[in-house]
Amino acid sequence: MIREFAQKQYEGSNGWIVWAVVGRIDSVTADAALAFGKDVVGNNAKTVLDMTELDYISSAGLRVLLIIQKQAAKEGKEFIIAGASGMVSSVLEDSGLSTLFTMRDSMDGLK
Amino acid sequence: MVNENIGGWKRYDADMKFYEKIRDEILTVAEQAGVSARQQLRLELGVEEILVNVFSYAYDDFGYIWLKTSVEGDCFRLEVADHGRPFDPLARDYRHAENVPLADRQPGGLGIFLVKKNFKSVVYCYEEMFGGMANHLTMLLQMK
Repeated sequence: MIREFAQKQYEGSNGWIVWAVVGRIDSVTADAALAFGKDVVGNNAKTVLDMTELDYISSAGLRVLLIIQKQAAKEGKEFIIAGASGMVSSVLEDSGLSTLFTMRDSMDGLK
Repeated sequence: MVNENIGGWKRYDADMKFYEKIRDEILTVAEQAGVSARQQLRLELGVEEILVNVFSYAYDDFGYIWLKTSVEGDCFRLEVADHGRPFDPLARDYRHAENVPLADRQPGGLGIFLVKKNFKSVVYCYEEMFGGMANHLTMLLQMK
């Protein structure tokens, strides 16, 4: 039911770099997600986190997003989140953190 | 009303290296008990937030965690106990106020809030169990 954790980076549309995460961002995968995300944001002006294949996120995952968002803000970079759905969307909303991020419903126009 | 003790208490070492194994065991039991796919995601969230808290903070060194699953009516019941330092996760709201700016936000405090939000009930008590004083958390989750 929950896909195996994987992540990749590729060039999207309109200057966006896509950081796509599959499966879970949880206590087990958070360190790997954070290291990868910091690298992508650090090296690019515009990053979109593609959550269309992300099935699950916990507070450890929210911590990753918060740290990445702070890094982007500090470095003057753009960082947005796209395609969150189901449990991931609910957790982002319930936590109140969805108001801190720029969120798009889908990856349309970004990949 | 069906009350069924389907797991019994099981003891594990309170170590993060066993987290995935314990998680998968609980989710397998839940699926077999009829917990819906959608609710299994919420159950996993509860399992992760509580277990990782115990593994990270309950003990200075080695310790145990006890887990028990059962079905209570239309709910799946998960109980967690440990002999670590007394800690009531429900005692206060550790989240930030909504008007705290991004730069000042720290990532802690959300785990327990998310558990309380997703479970039908979460109850804590500190009582004697398994030969010592234990933090004992009982969580009820709607199965559908």
